[in-house]
Amino acid sequence: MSALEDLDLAFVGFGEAAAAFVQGWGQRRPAHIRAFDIKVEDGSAAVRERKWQDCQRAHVHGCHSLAQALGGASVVFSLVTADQALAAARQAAAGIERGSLYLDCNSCAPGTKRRAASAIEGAGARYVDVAIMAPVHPALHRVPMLVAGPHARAALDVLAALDMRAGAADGPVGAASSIKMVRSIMVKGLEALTAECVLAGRRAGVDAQVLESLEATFPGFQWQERAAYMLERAMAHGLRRAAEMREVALTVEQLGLPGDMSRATVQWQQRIGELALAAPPGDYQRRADALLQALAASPQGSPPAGGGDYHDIPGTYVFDAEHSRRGYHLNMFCMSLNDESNRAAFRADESAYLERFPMTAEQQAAVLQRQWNEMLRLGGNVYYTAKLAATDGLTFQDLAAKMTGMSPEAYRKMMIDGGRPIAGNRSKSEWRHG
Amino acid sequence: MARIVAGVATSHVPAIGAAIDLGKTQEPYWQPLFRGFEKSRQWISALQPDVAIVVYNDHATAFSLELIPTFALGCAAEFAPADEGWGRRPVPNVPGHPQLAWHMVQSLILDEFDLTIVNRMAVDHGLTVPLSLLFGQPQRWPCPVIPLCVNVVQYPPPTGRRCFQLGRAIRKAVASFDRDLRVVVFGTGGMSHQLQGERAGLINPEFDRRFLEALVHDPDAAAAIPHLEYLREAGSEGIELVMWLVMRGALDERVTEIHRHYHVPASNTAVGHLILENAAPEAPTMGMSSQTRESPT
Repeated sequence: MSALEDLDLAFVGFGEAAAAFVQGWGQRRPAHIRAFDIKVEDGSAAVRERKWQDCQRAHVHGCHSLAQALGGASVVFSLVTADQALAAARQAAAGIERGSLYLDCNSCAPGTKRRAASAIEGAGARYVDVAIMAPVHPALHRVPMLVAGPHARAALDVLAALDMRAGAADGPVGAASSIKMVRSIMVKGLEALTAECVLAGRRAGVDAQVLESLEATFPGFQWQERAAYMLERAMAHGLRRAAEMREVALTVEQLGLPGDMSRATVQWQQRIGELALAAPPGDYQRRADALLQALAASPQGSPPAGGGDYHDIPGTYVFDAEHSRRGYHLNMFCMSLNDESNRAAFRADESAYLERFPMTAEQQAAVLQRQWNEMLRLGGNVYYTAKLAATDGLTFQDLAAKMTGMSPEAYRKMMIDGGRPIAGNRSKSEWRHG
Repeated sequence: MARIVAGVATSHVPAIGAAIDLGKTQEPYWQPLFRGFEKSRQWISALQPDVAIVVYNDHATAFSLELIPTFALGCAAEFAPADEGWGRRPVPNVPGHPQLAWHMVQSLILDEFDLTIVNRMAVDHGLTVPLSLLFGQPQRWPCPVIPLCVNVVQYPPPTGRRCFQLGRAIRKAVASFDRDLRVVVFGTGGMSHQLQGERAGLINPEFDRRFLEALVHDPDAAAAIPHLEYLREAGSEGIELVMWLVMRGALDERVTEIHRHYHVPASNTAVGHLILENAAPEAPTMGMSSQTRESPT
């Protein structure tokens, strides 16, 4: 029943992993492979064109819409970025064939996968939690995978027919991704640690001695080679890794533990990814130097054209286009709280109410845990989040106090004494050194 | 002919509205702030303007992220105070002035300011707090109001220069309205304050004083302040001060400063307040306001 020629297959997201699978299948591949990638709708013509070329090169039928890719497909691989996985599942639910297998291979928190599962199952299709457990290169389609959920058996049959190496993670949807998420604390965290260690070592002129000493402590780890590889990974895929690590931090926090290391990993991966720097060939030193040079030229992310360097203002989240796009649904949820009946519905069952708004899992968690600055980081605007504060019975001043980490009394006193002074609060550099 | 006789600048902090509504204005925390508006209330009750154009920003009330007009003019006959999440303020509905508002819209658009026309709009504290500060707690507001919303929430807001030029175009528009109306323009919001993030609570009295001086005596310099300077020096919400420039642009080049007040804090905000009259007011205005006039500082 899972003979290769009978498979009608669709990719949601056609990036590195999907292309690697197709490459690995070679001639022994399903007759019909369609793909939809959100980049074919990108604002930049160059980005769109590259994506069409990716599809062409792989001899995959590139589609203009998700619905077109899903129509007739009996097996769907979702291979988008972690922050898009839930949105992709929700959109796929509108066009997916009943009974088809939806293999969600994205690196998401178990809770995110469960929400995606309920969208897919609600459309009559079969959701499978899949975790990809190693880099797709050089293993390609034979990269180790774990599958979980009620349709794991069917998924294993299909994956075996595709000559893929999947094993079962016993348990419900989320079981496979738990393994992946917890593993990533180490894998992606090690990359971030390596970056911080090697860059600091380079700048201090002690990198060689440091790595040598590490080699003595952990013999056989091959620190120099690993450092070169790990820097390349972060440079090529930092943004994707940052998105995954946000899900990892969420997983850790949902387990009742602080996700500090994962959150710090997000920062480094994001910072390196934003440089969009091709890793130069050669050893770790050349890569580290390229990074140091690019970081020096771009002190804080990449401010949009004409925006000036407002990214350098400390403790401030300018509600620009990027924030607005990221935070649209979060803010529109807050907006709904202008209505008393909505406030009542939210108070009665917060999680259920949040399901009305297609927010990311991270945004939902920030709302539920009232992480006010995190909401701003995730695209919230304070005039909107203030409505959530109002629903909680907080005044604007209470809210401001919470964002500064001060008690309401201490904050009120600071204001009566003339407020937070401008001196020492103009630039992030003053906060780092001051 | 209609004419603009004066401008009022004032912060529009929601907590000020709450203090008025809850009868707290004489409490020690609030008393110094409200004392600075006593003169203003006498002044405006003597002036008896026929219309107030109130330049303010909507705070996720009438407009959400669904629709973000940079400049929007309220042309309705009436505007209802909104529930902003804390429940509706106990203030009367705000009467509009559709004839003048529609006249302004036509004039402004033909003058190349492409305003959004709004026929139904709830108004929030940005508009009602300045009215309360100047008019107190009347059963009915004493004059019709034309709301002019400026986007200062979604970055980028219009530049200070653009706001100043809009003020000039408003002055032209009002002057071409064929009815004998005396119009006051309110510029609201500011002064330095930051409501968000770890830097919340920022106040910069030096910036505020320089801004007050420039607005009165060298408005071109005030109009040249770039967004980055507001954000960094006056706090992320200090950028509301661009709305004061609309008011200033609507006045003559030279103005007489009738009153100035500055107080820290109202909740999270530095409160600034100015009353400016056109330098050569015509006889009736001068006569009525002479008692409250003080020399410019």
